[in-house]
Amino acid sequence: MQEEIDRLRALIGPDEVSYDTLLADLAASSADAQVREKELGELRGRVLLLERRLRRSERRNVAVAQCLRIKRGVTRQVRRWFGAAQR
Amino acid sequence: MLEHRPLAGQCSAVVIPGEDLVAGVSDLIAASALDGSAHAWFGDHELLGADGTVASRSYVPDWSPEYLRQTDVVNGPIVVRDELLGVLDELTAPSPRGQRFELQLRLLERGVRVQRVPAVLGRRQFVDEAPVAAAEAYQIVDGHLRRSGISGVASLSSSPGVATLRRTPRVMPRVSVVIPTRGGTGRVWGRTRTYVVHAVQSLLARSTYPDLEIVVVADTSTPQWVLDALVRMGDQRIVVVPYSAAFNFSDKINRGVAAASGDLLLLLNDDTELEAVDSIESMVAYFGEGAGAEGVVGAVGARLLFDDGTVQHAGHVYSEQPLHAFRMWPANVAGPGHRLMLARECSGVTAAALMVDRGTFDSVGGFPMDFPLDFNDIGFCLAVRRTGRRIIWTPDAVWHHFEGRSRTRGPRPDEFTRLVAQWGHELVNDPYYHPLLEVRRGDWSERAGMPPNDSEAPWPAHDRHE
Repeated sequence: MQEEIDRLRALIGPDEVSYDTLLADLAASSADAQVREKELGELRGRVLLLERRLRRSERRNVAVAQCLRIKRGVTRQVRRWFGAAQR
Repeated sequence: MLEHRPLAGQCSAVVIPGEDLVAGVSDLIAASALDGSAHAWFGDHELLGADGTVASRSYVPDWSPEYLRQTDVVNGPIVVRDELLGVLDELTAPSPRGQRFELQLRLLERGVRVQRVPAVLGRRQFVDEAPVAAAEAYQIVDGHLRRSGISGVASLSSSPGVATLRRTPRVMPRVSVVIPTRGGTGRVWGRTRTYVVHAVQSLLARSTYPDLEIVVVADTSTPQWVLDALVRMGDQRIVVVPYSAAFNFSDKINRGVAAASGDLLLLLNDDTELEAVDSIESMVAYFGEGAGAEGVVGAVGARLLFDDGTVQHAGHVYSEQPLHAFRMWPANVAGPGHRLMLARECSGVTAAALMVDRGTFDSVGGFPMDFPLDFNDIGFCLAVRRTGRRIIWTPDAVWHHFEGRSRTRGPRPDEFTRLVAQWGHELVNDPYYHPLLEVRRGDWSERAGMPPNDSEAPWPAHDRHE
């Protein structure tokens, strides 16, 4: 009798237990997807912050370079004046 | 101990030892004091390196009562009218920096009108920098809560200079959640979902708030099976309002509010999912408090996260255009000035999760009907602020918002033109941002050529949310 039931079940396809298993699989997969998405989000966020730091550092470098250029120009000019005065 | 130095016009500058005032402070204050409404002023400060050059500076926001209840926002000279110098005798904090933090809270308790001067008022040496100890900050905030009778709990923070304040509601009136929908579906975390069904389910299953009503405003295009799914939930708290007119988000909100019975309204997008179970309590706690000089709270916004956990919304910044502050930042960082972990005032919050009381909603005539698609929340928030009410963003109310990270549809040009025509001045003068910060970014980066923002915490070691 049991054999016959099993045979008929196999003919019908997935039973109510396998349906529950599938649902649980789906929920677990979705939870896993959520965890992976979150990990990806953390990485995305870190990249964004690093890009921001880089942009600010580049700007500061430009500002420092400008200051140095002006300082060098002024020093050169002062030296010229001193040289002219000594001559 | 705090020092005070006399200035012209019967005012004195309160500074910490070693802090110098810049030349012309009296003139700056005199120019700001023309309308006579303020009795105290504060501004930015500069930190000097060993060679005397400016190492960094602050870019302080306008007077922000909620924000400064948790951290020393000003952290620079405070100028007060001489009749307020007596407040200095009441200070109990042990350190000068702690006393300055406490002074701000004492001014708040007295209802003193305080005004920001968006210019450098003081300078001090970078090597002297050390924020108020966390334990001292906690004592200061806790004392303030007890004196002012605010319903909330202060917590010791792992970040120096910060004590987190968690508001608790005194009463829990009915909250009507208004959700406009078209019954849209999308893929979230690998599964297809009908947004509105999940949004409602998450509220009913997770929220711990005792008195909720959920008003779903459904377009006629909403599939019948979606409406059936809502009915099948069998919850008496769900009310479905049919909407048959041409799409207008503002109109849908207004009709939903008209059908709602609660005193407090939570406007919620359908593509959301409740994350923190006590989010609604956290928002409700702000209503009914804060009258007087600081102004009552008109609207409260929530912390919204994308599906990948990054920040979708942490308040608006209006910097030539409306922006979401810290969009796509990781959710576990504190942000400049701890702005991602502390409740604070902001110029506007998104209508994707916005709580407003019915009186405020009615006083501004509801959502602006001339913005059917975009910017309606911005127009609404700016109208609320024009009534003298404050808008708070709180990190304690958390939803996921499944809006696309790379939105393909831009705002309608005609709506942006209308926004600029109506609110152009406000879009370039956000009081909770700073005129010298970079425009069109909303992340508190300084402009090119300006000294670095000193409210930037070292990253990442000390920047983690506790």
